[in-house]
Amino acid sequence: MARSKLEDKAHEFAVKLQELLAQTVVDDHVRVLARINPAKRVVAVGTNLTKDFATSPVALRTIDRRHQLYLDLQCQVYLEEGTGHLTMHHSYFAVSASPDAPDPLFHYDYERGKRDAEGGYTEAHLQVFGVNTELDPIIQALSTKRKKKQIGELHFPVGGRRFRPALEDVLEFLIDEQLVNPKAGWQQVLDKSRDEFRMIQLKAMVRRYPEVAREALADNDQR
Amino acid sequence: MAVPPSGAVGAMPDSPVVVMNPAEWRENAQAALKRLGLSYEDLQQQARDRNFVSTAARKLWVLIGDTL
Repeated sequence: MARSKLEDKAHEFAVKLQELLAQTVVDDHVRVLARINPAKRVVAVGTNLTKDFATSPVALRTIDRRHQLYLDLQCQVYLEEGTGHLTMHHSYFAVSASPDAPDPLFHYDYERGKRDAEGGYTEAHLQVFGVNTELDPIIQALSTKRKKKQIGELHFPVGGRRFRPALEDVLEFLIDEQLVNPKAGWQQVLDKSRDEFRMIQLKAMVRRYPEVAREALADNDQR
Repeated sequence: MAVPPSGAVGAMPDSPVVVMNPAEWRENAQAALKRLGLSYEDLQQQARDRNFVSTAARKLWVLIGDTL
């Protein structure tokens, strides 16, 4: 039986993520798996995703096994009507200090449409867990509507829908800060993959703001 | 990056993709909710309130949010 377009796209997406990790920051066998709901045109994707929607993180390469970070990756994508593109609805990239930690150290989130929802907030954000002895008391005093009053509940904005960090940026950050020991050739792999992501975002911006694109091209022609 | 050629899912034992019909999706999502001791309505409310009871709940919302 031939695969549907949604299956093809989901397969391609899961394999790309899996290879990105395997070629840059993961030593062990890494599995990025997808569960498709054709009726809803949605795909759930995650590291070691089980049938009943549990995921587990993968160990990142380190120079010292006593100090190791883990990456938990998951997202929900859907097949956009009209374009036929696989579009990100919700993503979660979390870094933790243990595969069993109840909370990560930090995570990058993207939730499409969150800004427009009731009580909405920035679609793309970073949440950092832990204790901040200066900021936490300020949150407790001022942020009265918030139930949990810690830094981990703040949503730091990171560029919005089109300029949000890609997974490649998060991996590069971990490498640049010497928290992860990358494989040879990692930079080329990340650059190529990130360029693909950025071009998709750029095309979307051009479609949204054609006049700005024309203006920029006209400026360029006059130089 | 290399992308495997298209073909029948059944012909690829290592395929990362599993297709679920609506009943299977719902059944597995309900199993996940049960594992966390939550109803779907609980999870929806937590998402609206930006107040997930746990990271596990937040993660489940990423995967099944708006699909039941």
